[in-house]
Amino acid sequence: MSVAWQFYAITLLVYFGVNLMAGWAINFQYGVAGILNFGFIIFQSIGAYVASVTTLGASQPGGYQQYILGATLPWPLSIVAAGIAGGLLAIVVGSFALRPIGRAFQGIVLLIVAVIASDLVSTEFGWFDGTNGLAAIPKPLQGALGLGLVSYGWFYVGLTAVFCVVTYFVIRRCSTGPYGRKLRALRENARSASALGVNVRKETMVVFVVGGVIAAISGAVLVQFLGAWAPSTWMPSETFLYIAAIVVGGVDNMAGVALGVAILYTGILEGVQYFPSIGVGNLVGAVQWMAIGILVALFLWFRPQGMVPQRRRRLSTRVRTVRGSRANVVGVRERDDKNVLT
Amino acid sequence: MHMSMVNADQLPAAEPAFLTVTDLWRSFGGVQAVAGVSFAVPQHQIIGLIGPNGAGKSTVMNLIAGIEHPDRGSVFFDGADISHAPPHQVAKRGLIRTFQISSEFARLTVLENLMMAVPHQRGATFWGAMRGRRFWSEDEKVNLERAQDLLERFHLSDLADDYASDLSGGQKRILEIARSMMAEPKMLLLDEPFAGIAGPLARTVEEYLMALRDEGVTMIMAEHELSVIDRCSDSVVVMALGKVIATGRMEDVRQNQEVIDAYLTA
Amino acid sequence: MSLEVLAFGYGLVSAAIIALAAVGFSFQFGISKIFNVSYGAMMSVSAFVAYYVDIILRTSLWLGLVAGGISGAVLGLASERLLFSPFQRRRPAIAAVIILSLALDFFTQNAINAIAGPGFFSYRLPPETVFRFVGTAWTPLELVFVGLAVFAMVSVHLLLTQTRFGTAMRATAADRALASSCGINVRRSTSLAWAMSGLLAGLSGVVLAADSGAFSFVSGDTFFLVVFAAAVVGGLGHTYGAMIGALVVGIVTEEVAVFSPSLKYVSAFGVLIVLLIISPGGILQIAGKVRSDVISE
Repeated sequence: MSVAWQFYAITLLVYFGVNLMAGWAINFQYGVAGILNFGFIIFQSIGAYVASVTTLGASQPGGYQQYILGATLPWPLSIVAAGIAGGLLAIVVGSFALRPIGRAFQGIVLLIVAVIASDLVSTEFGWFDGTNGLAAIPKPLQGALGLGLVSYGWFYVGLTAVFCVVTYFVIRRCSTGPYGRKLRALRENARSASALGVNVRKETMVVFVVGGVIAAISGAVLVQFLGAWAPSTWMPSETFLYIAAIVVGGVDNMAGVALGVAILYTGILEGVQYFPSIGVGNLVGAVQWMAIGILVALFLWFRPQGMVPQRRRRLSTRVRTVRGSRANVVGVRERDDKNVLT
Repeated sequence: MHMSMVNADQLPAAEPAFLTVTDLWRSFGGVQAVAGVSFAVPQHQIIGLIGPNGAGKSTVMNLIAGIEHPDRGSVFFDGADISHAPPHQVAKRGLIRTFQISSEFARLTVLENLMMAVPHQRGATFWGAMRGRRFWSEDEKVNLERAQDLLERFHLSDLADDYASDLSGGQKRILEIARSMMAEPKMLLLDEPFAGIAGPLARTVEEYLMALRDEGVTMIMAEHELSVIDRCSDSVVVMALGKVIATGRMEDVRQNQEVIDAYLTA
Repeated sequence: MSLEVLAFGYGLVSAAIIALAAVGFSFQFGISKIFNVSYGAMMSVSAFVAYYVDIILRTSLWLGLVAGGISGAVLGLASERLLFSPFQRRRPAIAAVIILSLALDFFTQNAINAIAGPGFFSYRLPPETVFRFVGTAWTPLELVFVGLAVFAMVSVHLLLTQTRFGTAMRATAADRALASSCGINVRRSTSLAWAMSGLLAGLSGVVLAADSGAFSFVSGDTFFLVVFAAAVVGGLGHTYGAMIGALVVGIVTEEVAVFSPSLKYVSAFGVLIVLLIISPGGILQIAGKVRSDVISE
């Protein structure tokens, strides 16, 4: 395989892994717990920024990039710092956005928070070097390993995979069993859940924080591969891509999310490169977004549960008396997840 | 033996009631929904909460359950002040409220609906979940057995793995009752459990509720179906226009002129 | 001449533009109870339609304004008839409707992007004399915009209160089932309401573009959040509330811009968030006037 192809494959895989982590995180918030987090991208972003500044060293006054919280932490700690930042941001934002104002309002408030964040970072305050963003972010363990560029690339793919596995592990544990059940009950009918002892605000906050931490770590993993990060990388509209991935792939289903991420990112966003370029350069980008918009609308209309829907959890251990013929039992199964609307 | 209803101020000091509502007031945007309601509920009884539409019955239920906060007044349950406690805390104390409409967890199965209600599940927190299946599987098995027993008792076993949204209206109503039982309640607030169901189904629900009472669960039942109240309740509280206008046994209250007027003019 | 007073004047112009859109959005929400995020895209479209009519067809900005208004009305009507109402009939989750409107939003915006490109455009506006009045500064065009907004508000008010259509719309918004059983054609009222709110979006889109000097395919969306803030501040669904909200947001943003231009929109959102924390019903709820979402006066 030629070097160019290898780089391409490496980039694709790292992006896929990062988006997988983020997709699972937002699906945990939305698919499992019902939180409409339209501001999701800021959690990924703060992880990226914190991972950057904690490895860039202290900001030099008069240097070419200005930022806060400079440090030179050994690699794993920068990831930890990113995760903590994501969690803290979630606590701060959640304290006002997760009030009982209704799901729809929550979603738009979170979108507005994302817009505010984007505005604030883009100003000349110098939090994270404004619109220029940060660059020359060191790649983890590069010096220590002394690998060639391509080999390092594959190493990073492996690293991303490890993070994906850990994310899968965490979210899977949270999505199954009594806890997952409690969260889904919250999603289905918060009032009933509350009447049965669920502390809705606290549980919502926990999910928000967990999602925020994972999103932040995904941002850290991505930024240390890319080496640079700026407001243009994390427009509020990016959240919509993740939402599209879970709507298309499957809400409340981790395999579905993986499928959705594959289709949306690898399929649409990358695959378009192979189309003949027509018209002006940006036309392709615009058409991509139009296609995504149509795709999401089609799924919401015809198959809102996504391609791989929520799985029915069959807990019954006792033999059921078969009512009438076998067809009856099959018929019950057919009704599977049809009414699982997003 | 049916004990007659007593008002809070008439209680003998030696026997505190299980639930005591004292001088509750609540208004919404200028409308006084509840205006100085007081009553007491002894343990192990079914108390009917009746009155014409707009009397404030639902609001009183909401105030007791913690869904609304009283402007004035207090609610004491099992010795504790729950006047301003949030709903989940009220539930944790063993006071479970049921709802009239669409309260099932639609995209969870019937069994999941039931098992969700069990209090004190070790695996139902983030850290509990993180500790993995082995941490909670024993509890889960016990709860599952209990849930399946309950389903059998309520004749819903066939529907164990069906989504709750696929159930008929009557089945959902029974699910609601079964689910509130899983929560190991000391007391139930039943909001019109017989609304929209009739005939054999209604009789079934009646039997279940009476059996629950005999097993030690106290209940307040807000209902329009007066015949049911007549059969099931130990005594009633009659409300109209936000106030309590009569308490006592159904047959006594029936002849109360104020009550008759309230229903006629409502 | 103090900057703050000057900003106040700008704030009034801002408020006028915001009010046009906020009233439309509030109206739309009041009758259909959905958050239509693609409202911003409607504003972008109208700005470009006006550009086409004004610059490409070489007519005038006023014709462009009319064309923009019409395009908004058509878009509003079409999206309601073809997309939102049919979708609503399937009883989707609230989240699904918002996501759908987001999808429409991105689609529409990028359709403009595909056709017109990502650059900035502007109308040919003649250089104008500036009037000074009690410390504020005005151009004739700005005065026209404010006048237009006032005219539109008055027209909306008259329409809602004096005509049968208006009463039908208000009834539909207050209680759809009841209105229907009273013989009101709720489907037609809904479509009419969306056409009207689309018209307002269209007008405000053109006015916004003219006032901003330069616009691009994202202008409507960016502005939409400010419009949303104003509508919520005034209480979603209340037309008068939306006007008050527009005034508050317009003036606050311009005053803040005096101190820090970059924080201009951030302050509007800040107001929104603070208000949502205190009272989701907006200012009117705080004033104790309302409890539910209704198109009211």
